Amino acid sequence: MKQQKLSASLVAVAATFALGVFGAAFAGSKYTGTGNVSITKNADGSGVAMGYFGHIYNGPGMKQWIGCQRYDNTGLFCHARTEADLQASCSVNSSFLAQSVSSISPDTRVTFHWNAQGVCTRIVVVHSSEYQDKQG
Amino acid sequence: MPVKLREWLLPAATGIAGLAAGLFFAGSANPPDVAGPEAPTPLGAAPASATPGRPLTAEDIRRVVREELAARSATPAGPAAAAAESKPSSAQLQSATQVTAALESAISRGSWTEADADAAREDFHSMTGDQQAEFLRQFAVAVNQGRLVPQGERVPF
Repeated sequence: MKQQKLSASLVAVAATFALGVFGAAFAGSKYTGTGNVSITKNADGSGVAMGYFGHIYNGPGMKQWIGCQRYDNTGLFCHARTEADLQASCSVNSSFLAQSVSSISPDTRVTFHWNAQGVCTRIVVVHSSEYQDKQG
Repeated sequence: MPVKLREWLLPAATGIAGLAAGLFFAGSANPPDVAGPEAPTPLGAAPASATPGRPLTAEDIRRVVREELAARSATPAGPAAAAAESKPSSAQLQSATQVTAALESAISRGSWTEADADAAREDFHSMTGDQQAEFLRQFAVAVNQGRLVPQGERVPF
């Protein structure tokens, strides 16, 4: 009787393990970082900021945010704030970079670079199935 | 001598026949515009050259030229027009002065508040794109150097 219970438990454990393994395998790769806003400022006044929209929105942080605004046809402004209240901004009048801002969606990773004059020099928008979408 | 004549006759006849054939086909492909001017086609209609089976006429060419000239006159005339568009008006210059003063005041206090944004918003949006970019660039430099800390939860405008 005791042996039967033991084998039933073993089967259940094995089945659960198998389900977990196969479930994870079918779910696809997932980004496992926090996705928090990170800002790096260089001594010359240039720098880079990055953040994962969905992870930031769904995460426990209360202050951090990152975003870009296209305020006229080609002008844009990007801003980032960390949980530690470090902030960074850049601005540029560029139709090319404005296109990048237009492609931002709720599940993207956004990175923007600026130079010592506060001009955005690069905006990278990554769309990936590994990233969370904004929930709620 | 008759042999020599025959030697010349064949190529000469072939040449004349070819010339005649060439003139015939060229004439049929580009007939002179003797039928009088055609009814004008509305702007935006497909050019006559796109009509299958109908040869291009002088009137077609005149119409295409007219359409191109009309299209050019409807669009700004290159860099001069662009410069005129981006040149700020006196009202825009005044807006820029006010917004810049607001930014300098905020930098002296060390913070950019929602009230600052609300007060400057109208002036900001009335400025030209270049003026807006310059203002935001100065804003960004101050933020990046830590001289200005935005207090709101959103972009400045």
